[in-house]
Amino acid sequence: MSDSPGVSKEMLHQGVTPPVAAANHPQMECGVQANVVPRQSFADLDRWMERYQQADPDAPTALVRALSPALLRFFKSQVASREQADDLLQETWLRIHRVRHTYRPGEPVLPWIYAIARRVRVDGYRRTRRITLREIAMELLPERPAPVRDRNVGPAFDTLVAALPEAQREVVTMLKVGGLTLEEVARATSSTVGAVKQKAHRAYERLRDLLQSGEGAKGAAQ
Amino acid sequence: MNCNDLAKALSEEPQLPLEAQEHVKGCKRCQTLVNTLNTPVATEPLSPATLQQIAEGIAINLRPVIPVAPAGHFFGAFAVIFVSIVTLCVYRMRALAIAVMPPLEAVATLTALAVSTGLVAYSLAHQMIPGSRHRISPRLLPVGIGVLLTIVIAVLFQFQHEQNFWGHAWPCIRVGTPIGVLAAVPFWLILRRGAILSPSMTGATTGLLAGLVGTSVLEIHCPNLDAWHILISHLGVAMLCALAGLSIGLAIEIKGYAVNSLNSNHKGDLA
Repeated sequence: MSDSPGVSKEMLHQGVTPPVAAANHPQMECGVQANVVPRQSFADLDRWMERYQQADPDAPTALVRALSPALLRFFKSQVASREQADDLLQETWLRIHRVRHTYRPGEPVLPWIYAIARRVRVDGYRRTRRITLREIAMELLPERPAPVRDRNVGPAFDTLVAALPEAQREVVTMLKVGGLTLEEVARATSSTVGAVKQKAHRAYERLRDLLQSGEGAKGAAQ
Repeated sequence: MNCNDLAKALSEEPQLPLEAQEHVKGCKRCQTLVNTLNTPVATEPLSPATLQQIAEGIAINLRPVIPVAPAGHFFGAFAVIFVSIVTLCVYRMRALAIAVMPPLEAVATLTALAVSTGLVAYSLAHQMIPGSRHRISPRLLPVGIGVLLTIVIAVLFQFQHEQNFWGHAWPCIRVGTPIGVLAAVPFWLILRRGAILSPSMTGATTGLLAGLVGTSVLEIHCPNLDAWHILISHLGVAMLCALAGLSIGLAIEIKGYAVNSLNSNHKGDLA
């Protein structure tokens, strides 16, 4: 493993979830990861990206380990199944590899990565839709059991954002799951900061209304 | 602070300000919202073996690549191509319109075309590089340019009732469109240096830039100063090329080629 300065060993050996963070979030140990990855974990990514462009054999491992968990959560909150999210993750890395020359040293890595990831998601969605339209339902599959959740916590993040329009869902997911800043989301979505703010604002208002109406309905049922 | 202010604070600040935190403590609705947004996404962590497999997959035949040039270089290249083709075409066809157009109209029209071309070239140079900063939304830009040029033409030129309108319009469209198609080829060759993530958006922008070459040539060459003629047969060339670019981009997206095929030959590979 590389011994270059500024490269955190935790990032290389344990992905983006350092042991301290795991200790503070006991859910992580039982398979649920905190949404936002601490930004310090991404501090060395630009250096690793440069080394990836220079064909450093350690760079792919470092980048894959650092970024894959956050990318997987990004895909998981946008698509229904884990299998699809895994496929999209692999596809994203292949595309990142193909267009790695388009990363400019000194520029932020996350918007570059997420711009590619969102394109993969859109293409994946189109592909799935095409296949679904051509498929003939042969038999009904058993329904997937809903994940067991604490009643006091409220709905899951991915369940809640599923009710949002695609553009708003994407922005909220990048902000809350990817841990990107407004500026980075704007870059990743080829948009302006103002447009991202507006989408996020509308999304939060809508989510609040949804939560309120959900609670109202629950109260009426009781 | 009220609930609306909280939504605003959530969308603008990475950390909630103290005022907002106070509000969340006292408002159940906002408390639920904030809690839900912070609820972790339930995902089984990736196994180290999977991560290793992905990393090994991309590390096979890893070769050094040259990072792509700054956006300014591409902007310059687009501008040089634009000016070269317009100059060449005007040299061959002659600047008949400039001779009959009042100076104010000539300067205003050419300035509007130059500004539009600059904005489109700037946007295109940034669209080639994923994660670039856009000051104007690339989705709205072609529409905005169309509206801007329509207003400029409508304000500067008079609307007349031309006899045999299509008889005069058609030759301009027939001349301007092939110029646009010709200009699209070098633009496309430059675009291949980057990564085209949204073929439809980039296609529309490239088509518009190429079409603006045709429109500029017609504006300098064609002495017909009727506003309808300029809108339909000069500006129409730019819009037609933008639509063609959009259609090609959409076709590529639907076929699912996107980045896969456009960048399959690793433009920056050194080896």
